Amino acid sequence: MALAEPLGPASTAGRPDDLSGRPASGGGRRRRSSLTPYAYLAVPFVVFAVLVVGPFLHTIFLSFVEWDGLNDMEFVGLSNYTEVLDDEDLRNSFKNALILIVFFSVFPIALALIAVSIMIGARDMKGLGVYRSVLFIPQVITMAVVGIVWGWMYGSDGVVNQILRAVGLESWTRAWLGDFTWALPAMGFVGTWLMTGFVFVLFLAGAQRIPTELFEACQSDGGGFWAQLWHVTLPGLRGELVVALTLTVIAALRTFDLAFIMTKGGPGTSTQVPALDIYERAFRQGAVGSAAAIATILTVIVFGATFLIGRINRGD
Amino acid sequence: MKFSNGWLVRLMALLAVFGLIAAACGDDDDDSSGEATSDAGSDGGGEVEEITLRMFDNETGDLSPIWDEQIAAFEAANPGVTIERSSRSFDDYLDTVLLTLSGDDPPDIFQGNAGYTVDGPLIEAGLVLNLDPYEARYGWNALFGESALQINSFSEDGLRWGDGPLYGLSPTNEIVGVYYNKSVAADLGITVPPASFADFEASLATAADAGVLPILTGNSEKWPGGHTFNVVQNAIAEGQPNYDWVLRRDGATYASDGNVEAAAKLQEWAEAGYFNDDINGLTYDDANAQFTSGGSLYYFTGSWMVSTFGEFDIGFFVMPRADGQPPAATGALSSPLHVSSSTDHPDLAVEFIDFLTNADAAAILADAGQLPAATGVSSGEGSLAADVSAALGEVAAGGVLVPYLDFALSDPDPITAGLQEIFASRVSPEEYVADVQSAYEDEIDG
Repeated sequence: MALAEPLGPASTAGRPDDLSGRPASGGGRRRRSSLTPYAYLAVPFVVFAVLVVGPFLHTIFLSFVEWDGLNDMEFVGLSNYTEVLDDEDLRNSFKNALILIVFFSVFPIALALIAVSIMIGARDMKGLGVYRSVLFIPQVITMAVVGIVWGWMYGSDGVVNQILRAVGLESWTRAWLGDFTWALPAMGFVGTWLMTGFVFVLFLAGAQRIPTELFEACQSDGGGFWAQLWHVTLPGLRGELVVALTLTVIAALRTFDLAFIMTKGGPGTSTQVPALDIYERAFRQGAVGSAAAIATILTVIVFGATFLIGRINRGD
Repeated sequence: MKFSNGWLVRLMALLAVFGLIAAACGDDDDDSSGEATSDAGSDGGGEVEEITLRMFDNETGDLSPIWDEQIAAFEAANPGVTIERSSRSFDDYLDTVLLTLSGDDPPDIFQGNAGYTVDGPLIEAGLVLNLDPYEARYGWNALFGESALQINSFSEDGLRWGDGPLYGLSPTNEIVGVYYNKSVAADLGITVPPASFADFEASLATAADAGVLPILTGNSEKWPGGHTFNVVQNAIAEGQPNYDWVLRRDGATYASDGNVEAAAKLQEWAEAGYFNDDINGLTYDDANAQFTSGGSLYYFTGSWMVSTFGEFDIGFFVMPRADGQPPAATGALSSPLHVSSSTDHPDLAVEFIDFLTNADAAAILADAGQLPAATGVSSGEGSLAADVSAALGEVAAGGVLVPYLDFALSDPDPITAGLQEIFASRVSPEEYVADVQSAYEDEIDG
């Protein structure tokens, strides 16, 4: 996908109104050989087709067969899908992924909105760059490292429990990732920690484009902090909000590394997620077809979610 | 052509630097591999036939350096022969083994993994050489014991495990049992090894009353708790039915009274506080470290920890059976070495895997503190390795060595994630064994 997006404007560049600021001679040349832009497009398109579309179609094909990765494939129609949809454990995995959306998307967006609103109130604040960097650091760290370090922090003698003990909440201490109730929220919180900085930087860039006059107008109408947030900042950030939602929801749905490193889906199946199921079935259990069926379903869900989020930006 | 944008020039310069660095790193690799091949060529000399055997294995631990030495010895004894070894850690290996071997040019020698998930499909695909024709020359049945070799045999269609020709040889043996901290036991006045299962249970209460953690388990990865259960299971349930169950014999069931009682015993101990509170949140590595620093009286795990634990004041025993019968334990020969059915040099490849596993190899392995698969080799007296070796001998003499339960299911989650729920008292023992049995039946039918 990433390869294709920058091509969007190029493919429509033939329209005269896109060239308003440029010499007209280009349009003339283009008319003579209308195939030229397609020739340029062909190279990235082939790369995209081989590396993205091909494997994707292959996955869909595999979802209709039974295959251990080695011996002959057997065409089984839709039975991989019916089995997968009937599987109670798998429904639990998808439910966990949906819960993770709250931690990966909703919390970070809410926190980042509040943080950005505060920053707008203090535009001339010194050291803004430092805050931005500190909040963004989690994005820079390799996920494997994030998982291992948070795993230690959640351990029975980890930092989290040390802090709880220090403030006299001994009874709250537990092995967070080994607790059937708390393992998923604990893992989700790492997602919040990861995503907040990213969303914040995105929002901050957007907020700096909102004219100061709008905030002043809101203030002179008697609007306080929340009114400014609701009536000025939020509408001004609609584009960024869509980008943030799209990326964080996808990150939540495809979560693999955190679960793989921190819990292996446990305790029980309390942190099992679809991506972990796909990996286990394809690489460990010799059930490539069933893994491909889950992957296809997950892709459809991601496409669906992306489509719905995109609607926010269009309809009013 | 002139760049008007300074930033673009800088960006391209930066990318060029990355490219140069990458190219420089690549060059290094090319150089070294180039030298390696030319060395190998000149070493061989003129008249001897040059043979290269490629080997793919999953030994990246203690066994790896031993193998490198043995390979050098084999090459010295067979002029012109080169063994080209490539290893991956066991986890990475499991992810790639079937893909690697499904290629057009599989390695001549490769390590498999017993059971229906790896060896079964490989044999079904006709990739593994049948070793039966070589038995007369090498006498493996006598060396390893026929029943132990069952784990490396399969029907020729790859569908029935433990029943048919021999397909692989394993260098080492494994057994899961009870490690104990000698000084903690001495402080508590506990006699180890215990004379009976009842004595063992009594020692748990003694430790708990004295404020010492009886049994440490780090079960965050799910599988370690399976081994904790195995120790209790083999003390209470009959060994043979579970053996048959793992090999998928007709009518075998996990939902036996013995397994229910064993799961109930485990849950009873968990509820009595005989395990650590953070059992499902502690990692295996952290638990190992805590045990060696005196974190508990007992620790249940496998013989692969011998070389690590051997440096501490730690002993090992196999759990006595509750009914006083000869002990059973979980364990099996380690991942077998196979010869590819498409190799150009089957005789030499078989000679090589025998070289890594025969009586001479066993002596080398025992010296290095490993538990060799070949029988009749004793480890250094008084050491932890000797304890483990003796325990294995005790089981081999009269009891049953039950293969790992997760050999039976390609998805071990019902067994291991289910035990996490047993430890946390979220399911009853009856529900647990029924869940496992139903997953097992689904897999066999499906």
